[in-house]
Amino acid sequence: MQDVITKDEIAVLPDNFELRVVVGSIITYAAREMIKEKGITLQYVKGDGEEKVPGQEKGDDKERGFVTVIGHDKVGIIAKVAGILAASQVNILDISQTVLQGYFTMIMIVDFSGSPDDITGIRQKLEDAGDEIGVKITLQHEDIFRYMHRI
Amino acid sequence: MPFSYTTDEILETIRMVELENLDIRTITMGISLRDCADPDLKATGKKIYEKIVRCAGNLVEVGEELERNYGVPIINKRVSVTPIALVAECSKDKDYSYLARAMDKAAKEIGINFIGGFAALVHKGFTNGDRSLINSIPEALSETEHVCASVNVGTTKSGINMEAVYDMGKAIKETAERTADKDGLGCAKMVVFCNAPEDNPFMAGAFHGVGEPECVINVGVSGPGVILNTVREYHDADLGTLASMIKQTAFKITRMGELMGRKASEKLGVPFGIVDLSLAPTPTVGDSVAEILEAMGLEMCGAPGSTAALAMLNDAVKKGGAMASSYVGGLSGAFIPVSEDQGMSRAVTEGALTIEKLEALTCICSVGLDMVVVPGDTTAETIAAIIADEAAIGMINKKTTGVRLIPAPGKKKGDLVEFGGLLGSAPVMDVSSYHSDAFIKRGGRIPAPLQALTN
Repeated sequence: MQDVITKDEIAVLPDNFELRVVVGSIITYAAREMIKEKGITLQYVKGDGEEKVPGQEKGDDKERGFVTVIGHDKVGIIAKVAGILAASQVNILDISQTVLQGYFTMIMIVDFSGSPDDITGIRQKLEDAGDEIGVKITLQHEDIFRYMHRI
Repeated sequence: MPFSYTTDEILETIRMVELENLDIRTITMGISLRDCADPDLKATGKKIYEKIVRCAGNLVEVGEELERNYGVPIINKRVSVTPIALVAECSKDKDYSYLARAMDKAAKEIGINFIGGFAALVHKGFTNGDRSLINSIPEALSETEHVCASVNVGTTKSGINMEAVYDMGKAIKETAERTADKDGLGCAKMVVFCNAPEDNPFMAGAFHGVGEPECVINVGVSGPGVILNTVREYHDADLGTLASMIKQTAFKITRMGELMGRKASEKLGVPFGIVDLSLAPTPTVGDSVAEILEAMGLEMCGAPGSTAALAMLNDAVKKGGAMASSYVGGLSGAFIPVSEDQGMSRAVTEGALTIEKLEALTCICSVGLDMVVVPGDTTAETIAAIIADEAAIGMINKKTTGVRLIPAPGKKKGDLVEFGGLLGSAPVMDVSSYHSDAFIKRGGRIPAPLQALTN
């Protein structure tokens, strides 16, 4: 049976408390909000089972995604994107680029299974870079395309 | 490695998510509360709270994680439970609103916006628990924020319980009065059904049916915006070609639902139930079923031809969606809620859409007169008669129909009522001033139709 930590249990703890939580415990939404509010830190400890510690769940499976860049062509777009991906240890598997309806369109297939960042972190960096150079950059997990376009 | 997708396919997906409001409308966890029954209602409430928190404690967290991983928004994370009348029945206590408060507390704890299942199934008659539940609805809905109620008053197999229809007319009136300070908002959390599905993930009518497993994940997809774009793109196509294009788009939308449902089920360790193929509009501009009908060539939703256009749309969405998912269920049809669909709301304001035309539309799609605001002086008998009409449509056509009417206290035809959020806003619609009181007061049960005799 998993432990469930609710708001009531957090409410009695002092601010900035270090709470030991058995890995795999359920922390409810309201409890998590209150943990943030009270500045409580969570220390994960191993339970009897073989649960994985959050944040270390990355398996060996290949995790692939598509980076798309859409906008007006200019010098250094590929360099910029490739630089961010390299810094996050993301491997570029293939690149295609074309001009669609007057827009420069670049698509990269990338493998981020070796990256220390999760997809959200990488996506955020790419989006910020896109804003900086005036193009739209997105990163989507391959599963979405596989489900939508292949049976 | 070579690309396994074409540029067009990749960009189409990106466009759907970035520009056309493609989202998963809801991931709803169904939880059985049958093991929470206790002769002491307080003990039942405690067990209910604990079980919901235990089963769905990380539902919101998992939903948010999926959103981050796949970049597709999941608008709602919700819970549906066993009809409370079944769980509370062994208690001597007659006021079940205590249990609604327990559900509400659990909903707040786990961070969901709605919890469905303050429900009773009375299509053939009442048990004592059913009566207590129906009597508790006005208090339950006015005292809680997140709890949704539903009552099934008829089925094709058993006919329509007209006594329950009248009771629900009264319950709707009383709930509206108790929430008069919010224009009768309580009624937006209550549906009266005929042929209610047991695995519907959409609120306010979701409950966890008696044939369902211990715990299950059901998914409601969305996507009026994506379909609207397809219809606009093929503005010169004949209707057969258009239907085919809608089918293809519906297929893709549903695959998203299937993916998210499977991943949620895996992460939560709960079996995957069904994908509900309903086109569910929101008040956002461009996320409207009415606008799709207008893009098909109607000057305004409600114009002659609306029923045919909606029938075609609804059918094409189902055909495309049915191929995309291993398990299809729930309501699975286009929704036409007035206040939640900005195009519907506009059509009412302009006088193009009347309650009678809406009733006709409910014959060919799900899911009935939904989020329809009527004048505050509409009587319980008239509301009951409207429910009876909808239930008859459902019973004869072997489909689900529902009624979610809001008799907004103090409001008159044409007044605008604002509910906020996903519930949107709508003008008060005119209701026939002729009475049906004597018919409703006859009570009894409308017998099951010949359609029921299929064996």
